[in-house]
Amino acid sequence: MSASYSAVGWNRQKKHYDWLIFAFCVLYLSVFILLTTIFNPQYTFETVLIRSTSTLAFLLLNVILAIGPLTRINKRFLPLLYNRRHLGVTMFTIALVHGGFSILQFHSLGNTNPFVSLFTSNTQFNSVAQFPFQALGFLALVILFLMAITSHDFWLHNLSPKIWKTLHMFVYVAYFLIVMHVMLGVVQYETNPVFFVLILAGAASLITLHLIAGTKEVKKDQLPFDFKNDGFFYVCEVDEIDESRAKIFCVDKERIAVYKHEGVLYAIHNVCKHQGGPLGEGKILDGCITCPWHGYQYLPENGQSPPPFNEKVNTYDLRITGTKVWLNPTPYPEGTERPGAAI
Amino acid sequence: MIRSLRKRHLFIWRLLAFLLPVGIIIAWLSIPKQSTQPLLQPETTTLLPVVLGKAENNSYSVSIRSNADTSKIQLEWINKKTLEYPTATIYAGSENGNIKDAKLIGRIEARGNWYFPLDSNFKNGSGRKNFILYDFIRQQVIDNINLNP
Repeated sequence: MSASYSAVGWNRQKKHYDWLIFAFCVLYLSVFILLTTIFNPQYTFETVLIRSTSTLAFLLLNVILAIGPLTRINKRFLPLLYNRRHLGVTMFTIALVHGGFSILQFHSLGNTNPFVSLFTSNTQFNSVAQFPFQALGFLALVILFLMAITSHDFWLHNLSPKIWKTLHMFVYVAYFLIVMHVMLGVVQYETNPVFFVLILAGAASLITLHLIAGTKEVKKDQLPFDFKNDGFFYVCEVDEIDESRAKIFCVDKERIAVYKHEGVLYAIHNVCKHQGGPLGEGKILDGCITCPWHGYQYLPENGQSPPPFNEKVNTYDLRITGTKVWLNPTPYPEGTERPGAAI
Repeated sequence: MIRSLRKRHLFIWRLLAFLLPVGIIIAWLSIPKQSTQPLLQPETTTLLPVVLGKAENNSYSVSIRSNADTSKIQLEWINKKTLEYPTATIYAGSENGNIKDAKLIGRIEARGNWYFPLDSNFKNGSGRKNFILYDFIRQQVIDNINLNP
């Protein structure tokens, strides 16, 4: 969390992860090129580069798409989410090398503009086997490009979280285009079934993970809270919430995080203003509720980020009777001071 | 994540759970089978019955075929695997092994079976029967195929 923008949001942990990503990419490309040199010495360097970068970029994209549901299934994957943005930009850079060399190799040797050639050299849109698969890859690359250049808090704030998130959800369109780019491209010519098996395994894993995580979230949203009393719903017992931690309840329409801090319970809206992270899955650090995704912080008593920041979330009323915690789901305006409920 | 966004994610992945397998399976089923390429061999698309010589490896099978009275001679080329050279041509090998002195038979593509007419030099007992598979873009010999016993 920072009051000003920097080109790359590096800290010690992010640098550590970036080095890991870099080392993995170098290792992968080296092994791929070495094995190709041994087993397929007739391949040109351009071909090896196109193939190695394509497989690496696709592998990274599968990992990136798996991180979201994995964190919703198990919190141990949260550090991956914290570093997902850098992994995404890395993946785009590698995909760009693949796309760039492909256009150079296949479309830059004639008189036609390479980008015109890309879309006009094959127009068999009515054939599955001969479909112009390169156009699919190009469109996916355009989406990834837009995502990569806007992968910065500057754009998140200026585009607004809603538009930014909508733009970044186009990654699913890009993923579908890339799968079809591979299936209608190399798989049509390469008799080795390994490509088909890997694509199928990747897609099956991602679909399974996302459906499991999504269904789990829906179930959470649909948990009933029947004991209504004077606008308050019974949500849990006081000792069910750990010190400096929260429990999340979806009482009415939205999720509310109920935090315990120094003998008082506070309730704030569960959605972080930065990228919609689940505030209730974070913890209180230095007296502030800290989002588990990117470390944005809010004061528990008023839902405001500490100065000089100006993010605010809704606050809610709580009541404790005996050991029972009661929550009123009617939100106060963002940043409204509430005293909390003393235990 | 707000509730509407959670719902949108779940909807998208339910949609992808349908679209991805359908797309993958359709693409897999549409992979072309090995087929003849009639446009490249207009003169002799009919397989001749008698095999005069044959050479074979994991990637392709090469035969010299003729009719019963050997008045017609034919080269049969079958790609068993996808050829990794998209610009391959077949030459009838020269005595000195030099591609410049070899005679062009025809061009083949990555997949398929090809049939090319040959002259009477390829009849039984009429000397060498070797072919050169040549990549004319990279200007390199891919393989030498010798059909002599």
